[in-house]
Amino acid sequence: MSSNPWPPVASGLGVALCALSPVLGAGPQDAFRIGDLGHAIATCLIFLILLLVLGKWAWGPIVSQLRRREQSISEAIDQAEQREKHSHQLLALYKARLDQAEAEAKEVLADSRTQAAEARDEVVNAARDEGRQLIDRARGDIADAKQQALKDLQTTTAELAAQIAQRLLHTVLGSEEHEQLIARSLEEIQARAGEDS
Amino acid sequence: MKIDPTELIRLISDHPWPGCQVRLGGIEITCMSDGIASMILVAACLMAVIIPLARRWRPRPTGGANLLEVVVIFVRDMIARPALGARAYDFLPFLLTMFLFIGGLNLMGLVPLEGITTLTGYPVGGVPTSIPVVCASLAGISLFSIVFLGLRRQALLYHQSRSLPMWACGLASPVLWLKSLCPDLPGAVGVLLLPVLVVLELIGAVAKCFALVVRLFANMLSGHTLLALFLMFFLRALAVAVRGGGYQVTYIGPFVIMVSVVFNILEILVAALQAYIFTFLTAMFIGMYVESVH
Repeated sequence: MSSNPWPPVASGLGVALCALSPVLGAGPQDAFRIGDLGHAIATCLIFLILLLVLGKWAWGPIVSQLRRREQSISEAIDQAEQREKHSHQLLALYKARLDQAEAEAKEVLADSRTQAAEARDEVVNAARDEGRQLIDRARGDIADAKQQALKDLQTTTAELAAQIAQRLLHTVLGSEEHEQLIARSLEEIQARAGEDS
Repeated sequence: MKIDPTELIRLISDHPWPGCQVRLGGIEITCMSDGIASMILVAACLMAVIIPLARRWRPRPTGGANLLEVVVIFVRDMIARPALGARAYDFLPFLLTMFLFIGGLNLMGLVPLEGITTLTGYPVGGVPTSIPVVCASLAGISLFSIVFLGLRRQALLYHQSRSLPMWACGLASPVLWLKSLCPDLPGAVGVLLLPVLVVLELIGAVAKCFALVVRLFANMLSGHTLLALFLMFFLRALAVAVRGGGYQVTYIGPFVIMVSVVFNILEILVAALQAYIFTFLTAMFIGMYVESVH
């Protein structure tokens, strides 16, 4: 449709009013005047002129500016809505990332806790094993030392016994006899030790 | 105190200017009367006020342009948009002109222009909308706009859908428009009821516009008559007092002035309200009969 359909509207109305003219007439001078064709034509003509003049010099520019303003407001609203949408998307993305980071952090924390527990267990177990080994080793050393001490004691005892016996007998035993005597003495001592224990 | 009805009628009736009535083919035509003069005055005032304001119109209006913007936005948002939706801007100039013109005509009865009449001898300042033919002409503009725009739209739609020449579509447009007014009824019943519905719809359109005439005329005439009646009370009481016939004016005067002030305020509201109702209904009828599916 073209932008201004009103001029043909009003001119057509004028023609229609002319056709109605026989029924429009003025009454007597003292009666209430309902108006006549002159009023009808004047009304249409004045309205048409007003519409044309204001339409050209007033409403046209105002309406076009209002349209532009409304369009710019509509565009601004659209942009704002798009930005809002974008910011919502960003917010959702960041929220998801934050949740993911939080989950990761929790996972890392849980892992580190597990690892720490494992490390602690390892250290404790290792320490315990080491301690046990040290104890075992110490016990072995003690047993060895005890054996050695017992051996030394036996040897010393045997030697002392041999010396005592030598002195008693005033005889000097030869080395072979000496060793036999010691061995016999040791056997006796061990036998006695076995009886004691 | 007796009020002469003839005097009251003379006061509220339209007064042709002396020598401005011609007779053409047995029909009397008034070339100029106080009603026509008021219409010219209103149109001139509207042009004189609105065009300079519109020229100063900026995206952010200042001063008087603000008031004009209020009116324009009011007509757009309260009249054009609810009735015409997306096509509001296309009809906005017509609706704005109609609203301001009718509003101006209604308010003319409140403007004291008797001084001009006394000075020049030519009556000025009647309320044009208390003349039935003026109201009928304004409603006729609405009716003619509805019919013309309806035919035009149907012709254009037919031209676009069938690719027929525009003149052929124009010739077919009355039938198309009348058909578009009626709901689609299937079968033989639809065919039988179609003429009846067409007639009823046409009567409905004319009746709606006739209701516009009666509403505007009755409201403006009643307001104008009431104001005139109270004025007559006062003038009659004053005349009696001047002739030494009594002092009713001392108690009638303040009462009449007080009531007149109230009625003047009411008349301003009624004038604006009637302009709004007339324009809104016109926009609604255009939306009903032209722009949307009926």
